[in-house]
Amino acid sequence: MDIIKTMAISDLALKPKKNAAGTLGLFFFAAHVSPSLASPQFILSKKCPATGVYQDHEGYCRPIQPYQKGNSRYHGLWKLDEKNLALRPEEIDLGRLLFFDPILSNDQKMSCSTCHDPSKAFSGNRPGLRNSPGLINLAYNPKFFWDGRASSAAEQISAPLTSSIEMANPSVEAVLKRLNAAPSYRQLFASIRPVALKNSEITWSELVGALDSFQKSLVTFTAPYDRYILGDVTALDAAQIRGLTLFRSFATRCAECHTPPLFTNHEILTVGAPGESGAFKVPTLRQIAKTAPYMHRGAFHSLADVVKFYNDGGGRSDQGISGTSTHWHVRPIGLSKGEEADLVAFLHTLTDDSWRPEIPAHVPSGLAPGPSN
Amino acid sequence: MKCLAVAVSCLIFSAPIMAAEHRVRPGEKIQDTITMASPGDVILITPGTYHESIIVDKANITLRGIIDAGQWPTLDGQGKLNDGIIASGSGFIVESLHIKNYKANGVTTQAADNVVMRHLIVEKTGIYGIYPTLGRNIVVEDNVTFGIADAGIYIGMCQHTDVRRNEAYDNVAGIEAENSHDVLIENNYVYRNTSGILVFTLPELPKKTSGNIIVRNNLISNNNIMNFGAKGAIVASVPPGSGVIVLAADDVIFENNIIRDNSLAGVIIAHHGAIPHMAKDPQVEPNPDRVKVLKNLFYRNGTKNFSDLVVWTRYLIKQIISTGIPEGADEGVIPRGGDVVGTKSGSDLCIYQPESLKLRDTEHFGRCQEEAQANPPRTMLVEASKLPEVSSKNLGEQTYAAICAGCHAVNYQLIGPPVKEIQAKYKDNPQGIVNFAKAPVKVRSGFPQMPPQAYLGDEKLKAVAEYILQMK
Repeated sequence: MDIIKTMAISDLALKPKKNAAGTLGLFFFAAHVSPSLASPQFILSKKCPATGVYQDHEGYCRPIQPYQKGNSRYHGLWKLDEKNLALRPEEIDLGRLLFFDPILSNDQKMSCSTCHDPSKAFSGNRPGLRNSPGLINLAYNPKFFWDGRASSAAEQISAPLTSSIEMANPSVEAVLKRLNAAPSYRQLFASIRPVALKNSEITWSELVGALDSFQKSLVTFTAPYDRYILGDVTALDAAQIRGLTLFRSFATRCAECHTPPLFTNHEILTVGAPGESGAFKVPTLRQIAKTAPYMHRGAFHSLADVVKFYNDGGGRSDQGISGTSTHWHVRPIGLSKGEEADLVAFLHTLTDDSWRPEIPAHVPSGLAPGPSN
Repeated sequence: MKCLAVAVSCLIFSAPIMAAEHRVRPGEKIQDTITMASPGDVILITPGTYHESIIVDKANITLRGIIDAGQWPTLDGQGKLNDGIIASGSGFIVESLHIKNYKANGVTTQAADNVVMRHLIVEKTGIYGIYPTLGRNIVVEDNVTFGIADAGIYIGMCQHTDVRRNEAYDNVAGIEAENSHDVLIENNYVYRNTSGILVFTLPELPKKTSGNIIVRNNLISNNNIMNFGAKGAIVASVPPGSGVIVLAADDVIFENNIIRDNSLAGVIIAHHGAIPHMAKDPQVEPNPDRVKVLKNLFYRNGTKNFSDLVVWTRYLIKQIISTGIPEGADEGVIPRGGDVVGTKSGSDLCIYQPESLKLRDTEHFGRCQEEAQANPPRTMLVEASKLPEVSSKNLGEQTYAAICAGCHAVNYQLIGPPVKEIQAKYKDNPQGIVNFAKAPVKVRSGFPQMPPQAYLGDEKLKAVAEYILQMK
């Protein structure tokens, strides 16, 4: 009976509101909710979030990025292939609610955001384990996990859901069973389906689709670096420009692997960072000032330490997972202290301060949304 | 032939833009002129010495030296500066400069298309002399490079590239094509390097293959000098005395070259295992396939005199010190060389008239039937018009998506007002939008003032204003 009631209220709530002004990405909280119903009502936003996407004339969210293929008027090192990347804002918003909802974990205490902290560009430090990689520009990412073992978001998402030291679900079916038992999620998924399928169960591909849409909406190509590259010579100061010049010089070879505009070349390589030998995915450097500690195991606490590590020649490792030894570009550079500082100054220009992912105050399960700490 | 080549390059690379000319004199900074120049401008550099690292992040810029009574303009890094010139703008042309004493590269382009690097003297740089990377439609011609601690001319991950009429000597490698496609290396004089020409597919780079590379009409001789490559660099493992090395590259053709007096071998066609401690990359196929050695003149390759033995011994000692004893050294301490040397790997390899040559480990090679290619291409360049370009219609849309959309949505307030309000205010008045965007003033309280967008330039601003007014 409660379920039927909730559905009815939800259907009403789902009707689009013409005067849905307000802050981007906010959802609506129904004031009169019976405590027995547990969860408040949610309307999925029809607006694109403030995470580097814009709304096209059909309502889809697309990346704000000036590096289209063949666009020789712009000067990123690497022209991005134009992705047919059109995300539905409602699906992004549903993914966002799921991302912060501990309902996805077996003990109902851990959400995706527990390890992927939005204030740290969705990265996280996990002492004793590999750090959680930041979730930046994943829409352009062909490989997932530090060792690149997954080639799709779907493949990636099932791993933390069922890992015994992460969300610890016995299976993805167990997650789906829990979601299907939650009326709030039943109605939210129903709201983005064709009418004929309104009463279907939530499927694995729908869950992955929502989480994937949210993750793909986390785009950034609007940092001071980009403004500078687009011609705004005031966007960087003198030290930052010196740092950019060093970054792209073959004296350092930084840009060989951290290739603009993504600031990664997606390779799996060995640099010999302390903590674990082997080859790891070249991470993007976008938002890097927010993602300390650094390297796959958090060995360094500041960008200055990372730059010094490379300037001193990196580490040596001959037991890489893919059989690789330290990459042939990693060797002593010979930068002065001032040049090291210039590089660090440049790395800060990759932080996009307009990037404001919205953390929900409530999630449909009624549980406390992450990050829990 | 030269006339034809020049005509082709003019046809391809001339930009239909009103170009201004700027003149730089000694005592002035070339970089200052580039900063104020517009796309399409020509910067003339008068003779004298300039101690600068130059960055060109604009499209269609020409840097041209003026040579006066034998006096060249010289960029001198004095062993302290990292790079001579780095350019990322497409349509970049650099010519008639003497570039020397830089710690990294002499002149490099990064992801620029339609590039000409011509008539340069590049001397004593720490890595490469002339280095286009990740570009398409590249011409490297009429240059002299010497004293380079890696490759004099290095074609890195490029497509459609012609390397012609260059002289490369006293380098570790004369000319190298790495993980590149559609490269013509023609009419070059490559001598007295450790190795003359390298055609490599290297591991752990984002481009995983090499292919369609033609090496013809070159003089490749006496590449026997000591390897002075930096410790740890792959090129430091290149054996002295090698005229040409093909490493793991596919679809490579050699024809009509003169290849003589290279003390180890004229042409080595090798798999990755032949280079000590080469990294493994599961996405790179390590064997050379479909390599054709057509009719060439081979003479006195694989013959060592006393000085070659000294160079070889020093090479071995350096190898052992830096990387340990080479693995799988079945070649022996001083391998027997020849005109063409294989490494028992690779498929569809062939040699024209193999019985006329001194061969080693080429049992798996077949006979090439033809003496020369039937229809050799004149150039690898493609017409510039075939490269995707931005029309003015797209320009407005792309600028909107790249810049404006960060703050403006169509129907609702984001950071700035919605497009619908802008349309109402500036109906039939795109210039009004352009004027406002160049020098915005604060219109309403509660919202941040729009930052000035004058840097975008009139063309982009006009295109985006028109785009905004027709948005639905």
